[in-house]
Amino acid sequence: MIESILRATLLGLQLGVTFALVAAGLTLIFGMMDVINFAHGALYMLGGYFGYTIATQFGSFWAALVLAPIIVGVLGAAMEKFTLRPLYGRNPLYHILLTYGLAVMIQGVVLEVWGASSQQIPRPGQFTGSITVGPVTYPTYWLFVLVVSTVILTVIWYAIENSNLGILMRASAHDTEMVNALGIDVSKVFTGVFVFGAALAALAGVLLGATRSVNPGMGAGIIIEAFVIVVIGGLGSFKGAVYAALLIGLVTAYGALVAPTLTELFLFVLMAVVLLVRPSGLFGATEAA
Amino acid sequence: MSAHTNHSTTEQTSRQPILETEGLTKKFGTLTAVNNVSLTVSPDTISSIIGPNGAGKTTLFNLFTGAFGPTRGEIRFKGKDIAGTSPHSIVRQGIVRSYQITNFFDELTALENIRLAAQAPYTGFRARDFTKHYTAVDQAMEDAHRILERIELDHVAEQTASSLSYGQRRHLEIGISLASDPDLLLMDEPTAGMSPEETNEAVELVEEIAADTTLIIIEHDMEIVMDISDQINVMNDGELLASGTADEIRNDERVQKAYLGTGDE
Amino acid sequence: MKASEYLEELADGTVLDRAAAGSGSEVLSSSQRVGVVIIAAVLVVFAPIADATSPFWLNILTRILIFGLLAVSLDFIFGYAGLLSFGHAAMYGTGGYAAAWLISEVTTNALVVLPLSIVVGCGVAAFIGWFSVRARGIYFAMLTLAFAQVFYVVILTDLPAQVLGVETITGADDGLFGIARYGVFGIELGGGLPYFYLTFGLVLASFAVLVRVANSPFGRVLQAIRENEDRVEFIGYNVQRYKLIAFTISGGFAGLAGGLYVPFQSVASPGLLNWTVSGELIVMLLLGGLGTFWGPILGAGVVIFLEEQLAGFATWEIILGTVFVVVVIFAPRGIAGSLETLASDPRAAVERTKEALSSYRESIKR
Repeated sequence: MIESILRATLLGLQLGVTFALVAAGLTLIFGMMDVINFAHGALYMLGGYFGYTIATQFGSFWAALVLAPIIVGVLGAAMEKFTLRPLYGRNPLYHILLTYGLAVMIQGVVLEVWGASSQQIPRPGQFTGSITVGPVTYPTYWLFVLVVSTVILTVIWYAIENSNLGILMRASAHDTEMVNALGIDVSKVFTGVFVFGAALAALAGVLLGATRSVNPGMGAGIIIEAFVIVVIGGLGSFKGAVYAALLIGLVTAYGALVAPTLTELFLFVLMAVVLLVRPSGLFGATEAA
Repeated sequence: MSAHTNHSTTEQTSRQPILETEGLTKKFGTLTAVNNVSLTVSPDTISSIIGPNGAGKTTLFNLFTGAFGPTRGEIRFKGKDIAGTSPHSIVRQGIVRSYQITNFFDELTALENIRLAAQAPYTGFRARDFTKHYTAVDQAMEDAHRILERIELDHVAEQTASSLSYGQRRHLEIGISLASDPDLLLMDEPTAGMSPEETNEAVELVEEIAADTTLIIIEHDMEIVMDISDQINVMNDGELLASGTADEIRNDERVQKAYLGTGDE
Repeated sequence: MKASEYLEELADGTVLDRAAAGSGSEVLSSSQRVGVVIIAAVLVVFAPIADATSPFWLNILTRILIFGLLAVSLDFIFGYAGLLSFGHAAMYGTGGYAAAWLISEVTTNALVVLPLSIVVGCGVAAFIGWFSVRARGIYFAMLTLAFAQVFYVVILTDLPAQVLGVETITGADDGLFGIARYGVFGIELGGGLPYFYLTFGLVLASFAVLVRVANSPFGRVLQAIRENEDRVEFIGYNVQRYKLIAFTISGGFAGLAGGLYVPFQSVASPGLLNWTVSGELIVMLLLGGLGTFWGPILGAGVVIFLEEQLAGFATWEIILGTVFVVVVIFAPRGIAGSLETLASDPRAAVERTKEALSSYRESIKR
């Protein structure tokens, strides 16, 4: 009993930090550009598929871990430039609609190129075994994912807290003119944030592609989870996204222990409760003025 | 007190105030926008709120209309505490605000803009209100036409709001507020950005409205403030610095030092 | 929501019908009503011919009508009240499941089943709406999506059966099969033609009701909410209540669409509730023309027609996604809006297309 709880805790944390990678991109893009990127899940899926192809073709997980986010980042840049940019200044709802269209398109491309069957990215040789800590046996790969994701999140957190990136984020969504006045090219910042978010999602896709599977439904699945996370955390808040992602990771892992079929339902119940208590999310702006 | 000598000070104090705040405070995070404000507004008077930008005037309005709930303190309207009540029910109780930046339904006609506001009191969600949605239309339409005449926009009733001139839009803005049949009307800079001629018209309209409605006005034009106000409230840094008649405010040392003396306006 | 921006972008598109009706804001002007009557008459007359010569097209036509109804129900809340619902699949699907269950277990009488489909749709919408209406814009879209997924999960895992301890109610992943078609007063509506007429009549009646509501004082308040939500609250309307009621009404019609679709296909599967259905619906609506009453039907027609014709040509999602992206960027007013411009001033339409293209080039160069 204790063992399965401890194991679930570790699993939950590991899932949580990986979810946080996806949700962080979503919330950063929103915080900066006021855009809800519906295609974020599709980019995560592309990361998984590129990772799978690279890892199986070149036989190197590490190549996949580095190259897939770069490729997806470049695709993200193209998406931002050719589709999102013409819509800046329009009602933000148009961005939801547009990115939904992109998500459908990418979904189609994935089906066309990789087919409908489910794949798995082979784990790197160093992390195929498992490690026993006290009563718990834990795959070393999970630990690896936990460590990598935590390091990346910490770096982003540090960057936001200790540079004017955070200030820029708060300023740019609402006052592009002010940011322009600071001598910063907003459109470059937007592209940069979007590419970074896309690469993070792809990285998560590769990392989780070796534990969960790589399949055409993974993008649609994760986007709902990511939405739930950013709603719970507070839209546009990086800190909120990280905490909420950990919460969701743990709920998912514990839920699987208690009632595997109802895990997803727990997420929505959690979201409903948070919204009732704090309508703008855990770390959302309290005055919606 | 030149314009409203009919409201004698003794008469005001003898009546129950229409609006009263006690220790009203609003904080946004670490910023205290309104700090411990206690003021009293008598019925059928014109009160002004003056003070430099950021003094908390607009936040005070937002507290009165229910846009924000207060952090601390009480707001009593006709003797009833309204702090924390939702905006739409505060409107129904009789506090209505007009906006400085015209804020209405651009794609609807002037008449429709007014009618929407005029109709609100007739609507609701109880069973007996359901049919009223339909039967009250004529009544609301009548009200709307009456108000359009009052704000002198009856000749453009069928034009969309977006096609009106600046001055006409300001009138429409006030008309929408009047359509809610306020007992207490909060006006945010009713003369801002107007030509001298338009300003005169606006002041006339304000005085006309004051005949049957209590008014609280945020205004930067000191001449107008001194001219029309029965009571002037001076705010600075979220606090109520002084409150009194035009003469009292002119001669108040703190006000001179903090506000008038700095030559803010 | 930034109401003014919304307007700038959508003013022409959303209030298309108003422009036709002059200064009032009537949805569906009298000339358009004549058009509706003519199209309806044509359909009524030609349906038997289609049935005799090619039943396949009658089938397509029925599907278009059902999805048209669904898209119009979404248009009522999005195009008219300005609330983007990403959760309409929930009302549609539960309405369909309610019909499936009632037909299998209780009765095939349409007069009993369909009203209950509507009630279920309203109930589900009220639940989702209760959580979502205090939000606006993007937040509203995300909340409706997430809460709609609750119903997807409930159906997929057959939670009702788990709670009640019976074997199955929703049929879990498999769904419910072999659903019979309706009968009314002992008349079977099983054939293609009778079912078409049933659908046709109900869809037409629904449109009439929705147009009536949209043009009512209640509808005016919704329209005002779309334009300037805050001010509506500050002239004394309980905005959240209005939004909730509008969403509930919209959900009722989505439930009806589900109740018509499931017996038509004879299957209720969990896929009906998946959010991709909500997404496809939005595609239809935007493609056809937001805020117009015939745009959504046109959109449903185009999407279903393309799906039938092009499915073998390339992966359907690629086509659908691409078409949608192009529409959002270049023709946010949809087909109906573009046709309207074309009809009223062909030369201006060419100019506008040029302008749109050059401003697109401009914006991606920056």
